[in-house]
Amino acid sequence: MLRADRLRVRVLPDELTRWRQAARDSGAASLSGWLRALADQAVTTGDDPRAWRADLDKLARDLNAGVGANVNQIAKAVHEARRRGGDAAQNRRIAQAADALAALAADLAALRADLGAVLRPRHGRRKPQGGTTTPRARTGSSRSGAQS
Amino acid sequence: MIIAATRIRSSSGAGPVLDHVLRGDGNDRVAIVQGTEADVADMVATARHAGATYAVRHYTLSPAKELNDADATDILHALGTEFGFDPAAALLVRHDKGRAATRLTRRTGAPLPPEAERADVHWHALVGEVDPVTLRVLDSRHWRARHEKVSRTAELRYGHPVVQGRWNRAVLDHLDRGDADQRRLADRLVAAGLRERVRPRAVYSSDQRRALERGRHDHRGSPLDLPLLVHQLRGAWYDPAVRDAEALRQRLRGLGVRVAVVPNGSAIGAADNPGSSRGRLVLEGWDRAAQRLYVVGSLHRLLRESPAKITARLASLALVPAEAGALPAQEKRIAGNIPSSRPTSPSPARGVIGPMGARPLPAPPRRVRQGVVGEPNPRPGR
Repeated sequence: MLRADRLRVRVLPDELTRWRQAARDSGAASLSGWLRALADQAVTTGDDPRAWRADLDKLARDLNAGVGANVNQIAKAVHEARRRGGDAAQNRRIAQAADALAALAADLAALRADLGAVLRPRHGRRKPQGGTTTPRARTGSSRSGAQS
Repeated sequence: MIIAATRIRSSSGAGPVLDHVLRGDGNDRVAIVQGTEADVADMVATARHAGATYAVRHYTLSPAKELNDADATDILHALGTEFGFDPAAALLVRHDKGRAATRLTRRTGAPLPPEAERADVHWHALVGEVDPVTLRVLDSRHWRARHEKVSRTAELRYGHPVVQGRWNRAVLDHLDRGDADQRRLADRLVAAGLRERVRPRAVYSSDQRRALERGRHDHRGSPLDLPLLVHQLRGAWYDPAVRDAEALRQRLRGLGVRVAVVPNGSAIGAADNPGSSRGRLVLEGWDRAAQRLYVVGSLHRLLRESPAKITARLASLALVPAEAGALPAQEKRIAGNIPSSRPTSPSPARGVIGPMGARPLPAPPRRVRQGVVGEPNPRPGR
C-alpha cells in the first residue's frame, strides 16, 4: 500500500534530536516509522498522550500541598520545641528530629526538581526575557466595575 | 462584586506577587484557602519553559457583602469555566482588611456610615497563565466583559447589590444568547437597571494607585492610604456643613491637600483633561516625609463628578477657578500646613486655593538615530 499523503509537523531542534535518539534506541527503522507506531498505539489503546503530563502535574501539586505542607508543620513544631528547650535527652531527640526533617526536605526538593526536569526539560524553548531587544508589552489589567 | 485581573510577567518571577498576596502590609489577617507558594513557583517555571511573556494571572475578588471561602472558591470555579483553567491548581488567599470607611472609623472613632456596603474581606487568586499539560496560554479575549459577566452572575446568586459595570451591554447580550437560565439572569439584570446605567470610570487604576502610594507619605508622615484619602475628600466635599470657602479650606487643610488649577496640555495625562479651556482642577497633597507636594489626581475623577458640577460647587463657595490670577490675595495663600515656600513636585501651576505658578509643557522629544542624540544621521551608502 502506497503512503501517498504527507504529514508535516513543526518541531524544535532539540525535540527532533531527542526524538531521533529515542527512535534509534527503540530499534525503529526510521523516525517516521517510530512516530507512526506511537500514533497507532494511541489510536488503538485510546491513551491520551498528554495524560502523563496531567498526572505528573497533579503529583507535583500533591507534593506541594500535601507533603510540603506537612513538612512545614513538622518544621514549625521542631523549631518551637527547640526554642522551648528541655533536658539533655529531649534536646537530643529534637536534634535528631531536625536532622531527619532536613533530610526529608532535601529528598522532597530533589523529587520536585526531578518532576520539574520531566515536565519542563531544558531544551531552549525559552525566549529571552526582558532586555532591550524585547519591546515592552502592554501590562494587562482588567476591572469588572468602577472601584471607589 | 468587583473582579479585577492583572498578569504577572515571567521575567518578574513569583516573588513580588507572593510578597504582596501573602506578606503584604495593611491586612488584619491573611489566610491561605487553597494552594501553596510552590505552586506559583511552578507556574512561573512552566511559563518560562514555554517562552510565555506572562506567567501568573492575578485575580482579585472583592465582594460588596460578606462571603465565605466556599463562595469565593465557587466564583474561582466560575472563572475557571469561563477562561478554561483548572481552579484546583490555583492559589486562593483571603485578606481580611477594613475598607476605607472602616479604617476611618477605627482611626477616628466616627460611626460607620450606613452606606458603607463593601465587605471588609477580599480574595486573591493566582492562576497559571500557561497550562502545564498543553503548554497553551490562558485565554484572555474580552476578559473585562467576561469578568463582569462572572461578577454580575455572582451578585445575583448571592443577593449582592448589582455593581454598575463598564461592559453592561456586552454582558446582557451574551447572557441573552445563552440558555434559559442565562436569559433569566439577563432579565434580572435588566430589571436591576443595568441597561440604563451610565458607564462608570474607576477613580484610579491599580497601577496608578501603586505608583502614587509607592514611597509616599501623607501630611502626618504616615504611608499614604489613597482609598482613605479619597473617602475623606468625598466626605469633606459633599458635607452640607461646608457652606463657604473657609470651611472647605479648613476641611482640606485637615487632610493635607489643596485644590489647584493646571493648564491644559500639561503632563498629568490627556485622559484626565476635563476639556475646560482654562485648565483643569487637580488635588495636590503634602508629603511630610519628603517635604514636597505631589499630585493626587484630577478632582473630577477623584470625586466621580463632572468638571462642570465641581466648578459650580466651587463657585457656590465663592471659590472661582476660572480666573485664578484674579483671586483675592488671601485665596492665593496655601491652605493649612502646606508651606508655600516648599518645592513642589511636579512643578507648580496656577492655584485655586494655593499660589501656583505656570506648569511648563513637556519638552519635545529629541531625535535619536543610531545612538546619536540630536545629530543628523549620515545615511550609510551615500
